[in-house]
Amino acid sequence: MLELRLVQGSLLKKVLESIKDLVNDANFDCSSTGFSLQAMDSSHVALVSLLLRSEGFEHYRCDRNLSMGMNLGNMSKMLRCAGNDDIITIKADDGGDTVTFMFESPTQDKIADFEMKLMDIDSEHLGIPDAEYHSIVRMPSNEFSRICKDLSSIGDTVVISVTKEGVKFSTAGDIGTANIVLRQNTTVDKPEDAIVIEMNEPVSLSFALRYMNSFTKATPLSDTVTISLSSELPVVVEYKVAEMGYIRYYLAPKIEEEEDTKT
Amino acid sequence: MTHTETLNILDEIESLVSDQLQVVSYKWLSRNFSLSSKTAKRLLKDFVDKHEKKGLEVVYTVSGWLKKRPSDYHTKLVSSSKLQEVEKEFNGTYFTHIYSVQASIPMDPAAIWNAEFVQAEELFKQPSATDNCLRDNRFCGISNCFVKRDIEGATANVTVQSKSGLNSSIPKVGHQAKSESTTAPAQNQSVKSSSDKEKPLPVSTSNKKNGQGDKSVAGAGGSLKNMWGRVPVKAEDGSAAVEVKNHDHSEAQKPSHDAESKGGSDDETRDVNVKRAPKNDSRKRKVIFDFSDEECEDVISLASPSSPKINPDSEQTKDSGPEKLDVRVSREIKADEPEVSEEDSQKNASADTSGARKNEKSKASSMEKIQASGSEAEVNPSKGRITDAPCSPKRKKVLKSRIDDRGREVTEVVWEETEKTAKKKEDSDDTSKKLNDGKSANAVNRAVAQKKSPAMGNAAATNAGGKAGSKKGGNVKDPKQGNIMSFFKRV
Repeated sequence: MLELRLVQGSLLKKVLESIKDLVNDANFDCSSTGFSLQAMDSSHVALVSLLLRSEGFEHYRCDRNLSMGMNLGNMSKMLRCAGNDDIITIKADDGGDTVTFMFESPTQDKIADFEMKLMDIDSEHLGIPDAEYHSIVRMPSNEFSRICKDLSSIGDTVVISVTKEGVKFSTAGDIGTANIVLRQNTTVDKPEDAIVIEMNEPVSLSFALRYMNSFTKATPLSDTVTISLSSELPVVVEYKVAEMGYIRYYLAPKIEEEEDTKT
Repeated sequence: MTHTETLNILDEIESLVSDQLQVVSYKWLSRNFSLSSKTAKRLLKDFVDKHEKKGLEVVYTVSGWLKKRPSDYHTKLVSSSKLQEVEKEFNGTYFTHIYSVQASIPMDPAAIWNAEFVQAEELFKQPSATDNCLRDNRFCGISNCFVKRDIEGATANVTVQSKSGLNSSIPKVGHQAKSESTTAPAQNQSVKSSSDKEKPLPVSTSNKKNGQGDKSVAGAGGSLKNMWGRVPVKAEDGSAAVEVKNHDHSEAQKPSHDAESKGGSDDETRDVNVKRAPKNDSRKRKVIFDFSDEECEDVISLASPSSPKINPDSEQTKDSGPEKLDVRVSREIKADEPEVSEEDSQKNASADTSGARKNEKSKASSMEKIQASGSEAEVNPSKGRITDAPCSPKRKKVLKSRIDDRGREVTEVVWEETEKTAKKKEDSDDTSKKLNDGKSANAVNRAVAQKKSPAMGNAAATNAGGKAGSKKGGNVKDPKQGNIMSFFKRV
């Protein structure tokens, strides 16, 4: 028996919007610690990891670990039927092949039940080791979104370089090149506007902007985004989900050409 | 190939396979060391025989008719462990060659030709001035009538036709030059000298152990970078042409024209020549039509033949009369190495460009393209081009013709000159075609790669698409894109 009651139902809606473009089908894993998801995109270049801790739910009951395969597009369709202020309750039976989303209006005068069929999904669960990252950049999420959007109109690859001067996003395309440099800036009125750069080691990696842009779908979830970079490791783009968890996107870097092009 | 060379290559293969864990395929080997693919396969065989017990994995390509009905001609890539099993599927005679040698069979079949793909990309990325085995279509099993190999052909394994055409063209050029102008002897000398110089270059490249070096030496590719690089050169041509308007077009252009026509006798160039021959005799306009039909690249190529010569010519033409110019040009060409001339030409081009643009803003774009083509032409120092070099002062006329083509207005301005320019255009077309050939050769190679690995599926297709296609297509997989699975292990 599974019963999760989330008062701030809009969070779940935003979570779905932020991952459904990247992943079509995924298994939601429910355990006593929380509600989580890990899935790769179809080309196995990006990985999304979602965690909603049990403490974040008003009511969390999970008798036994349960993995529910869902089509995220369909799930998103159902969640769109919930109002932004609605309370969402996810219910499922052990061994059942459906999941029920219940939407309660804040005034309790409207209750909607949506039952969705589950599906069997063969998913590969990857172990993600904890790693020390060479550089960690925290910046306003809408700023990051804007940068990715702007750069993707110029080129298809962004090179993110962190040096002690700041973090540079650069791209090159047929029409020209673009460089956006952000400097550390912690003297701001609102802490979420700060740009914090922790650099242990300079790092420069290139990534496909297409994926970065799909990561920024999570921008509504959080005012800030944390980008962790390490050479030899996928970049981690993390958005906090309120106080209850996170969405982390992992993206494999593009392999730099090492060969010298001397003539 | 000498025994020591073979040993060196075998050593290199060993280090690549066992230390760098690279997949060494015969194709990669062929391109890297400028060997024919047969030799490369033989080398791999030698290598496998020698290192059989070191735990190498060998991928064979088995081709032949299948036993099952309906019988198809089939080519399969097979690992050594399954070789016997697969061979049973084939009927009667079939061929088994070594396709590649690697430390282990890669999980992702695309990895088998990843090295080849990266190599091909590098070859095409090389500056347009360098010639390489892809640009001259050296090892491609499909002959391309547009690719002509130059003097270098004599040294390397080349298609026979291109050699003969080039050789025959050279002496004739010299002869005509003599008859037409006093400068002819100088031209001949220059041509010979240049040819002499060029010959040693290919030899040295072939001797190089490092495949990369070989590739960098030769070839004109069609990438955007190359096109951009060419632009300044064209501007030079245009300016030079303006200054040199009065120079003798007949001398330089005719020889080149003859060379081309003779080249036409060759199998490769037949089609081109047939089409062009009437055009040459007739007015420019016809030529123009052909060009207009062709893609921009061709247009660019038109100017290209003259570009290498332009630099010296333009400088001297200003000071002296046309005859002197030719002589000096030829001498300079002899003295200067191709690279030097390129640099000069670029400088000149940049300076000249401004003037040219002032004259014709609207035409500037076309000019740039032409310049770009010129730079490519420099890359491949062929005899035909050398002959063109003395004509460089006439380039300006060529540019005018271009304008005419687009506007169709100016054709009448200089009649004779226009004919000559037309000839030049033809020459340039040839060069352009060469450039195009490089591209086509690439395409062929990629296509071949795809065919070989049908199992690769999407990955193969993406590889074939290459960088060119990947830019805009969001769904196209980038060969350089890493895989998240290579960073995290499954639980």
